Amino acid sequence: MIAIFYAEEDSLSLSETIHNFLIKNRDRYSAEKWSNINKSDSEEKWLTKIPSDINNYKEKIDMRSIELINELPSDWENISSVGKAYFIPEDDEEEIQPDPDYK
Amino acid sequence: MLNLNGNINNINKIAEPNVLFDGNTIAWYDYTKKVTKDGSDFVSVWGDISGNSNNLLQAIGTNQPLWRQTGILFDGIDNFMKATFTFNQPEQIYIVLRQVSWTANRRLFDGGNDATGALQQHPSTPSLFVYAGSQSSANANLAVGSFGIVKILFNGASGKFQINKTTEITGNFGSLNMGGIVLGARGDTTGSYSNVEFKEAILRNVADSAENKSDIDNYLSRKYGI
Repeated sequence: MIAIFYAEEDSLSLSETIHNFLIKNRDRYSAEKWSNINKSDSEEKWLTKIPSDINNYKEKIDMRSIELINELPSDWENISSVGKAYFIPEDDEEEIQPDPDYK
Repeated sequence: MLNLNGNINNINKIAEPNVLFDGNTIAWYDYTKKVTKDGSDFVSVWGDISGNSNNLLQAIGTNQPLWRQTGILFDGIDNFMKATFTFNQPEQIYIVLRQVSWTANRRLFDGGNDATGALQQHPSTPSLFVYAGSQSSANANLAVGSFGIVKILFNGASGKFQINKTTEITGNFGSLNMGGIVLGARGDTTGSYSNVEFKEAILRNVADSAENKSDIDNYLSRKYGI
């Protein structure tokens, strides 16, 4: 699951909440932080990925007010830190069904 | 014939060929060895077993791939791992991987800088090409969902690209130097994330002879039942 936000601070806030949650709940979690800024290139949206094991814990994060989607929108393009474009145009994207074993 | 089928309990019983210890192996990653993961199996360090400490690293939680019994899985959303080290052509790469899904222009791996030694999904499923300044012909010999042994030589005009035992593609793939490796994304790590699973990668700083290439290929083939 991916949480979509329309303000950078909301995205960062959830990222910090997730980081602190995992420090407390996930054994041997040692990441420096949960995520960096992840902003859409074409629209004013930010995303924070939800950990795939989030439902495995007794403690829960309240996400009732957050817009959640299952996968990135097809037109999502991250802002590039170096300003480079793909060397092949992106207009011929083709989606194949994911592995059913992958959760 | 003994068929080990890549079972994790058997794969480390296959003898490693002597050529891998000739001083040219610059990095070597095996998903069953030297992997640092947390309680939910997310990987922060995939250690280099070549002795050169060119470890693949990922310190940011959301970007960490998932260790599984079958390999290390990159989600195609934001997972990647990176190792930065001197790696100049000739660059001989053996890598055991599976395209979990296929999306045009996603990179299964790249050099430490953008498009300096890329294996990319393009132009149509399940094709791949390689690129180090020039683009190879498309190779459609690795079906989505199947593990295969991908062998690549970046060596200027004398490049080679082969999947399993199928016909080798040769040509000029460019002369850019990789400067390390990024798994699961493009070299600048800002995009082209791929949904891919890796078992093993061997990076060598030499254009291997046919005999040495066969020895390494056979080792991986027997180890994983490919």
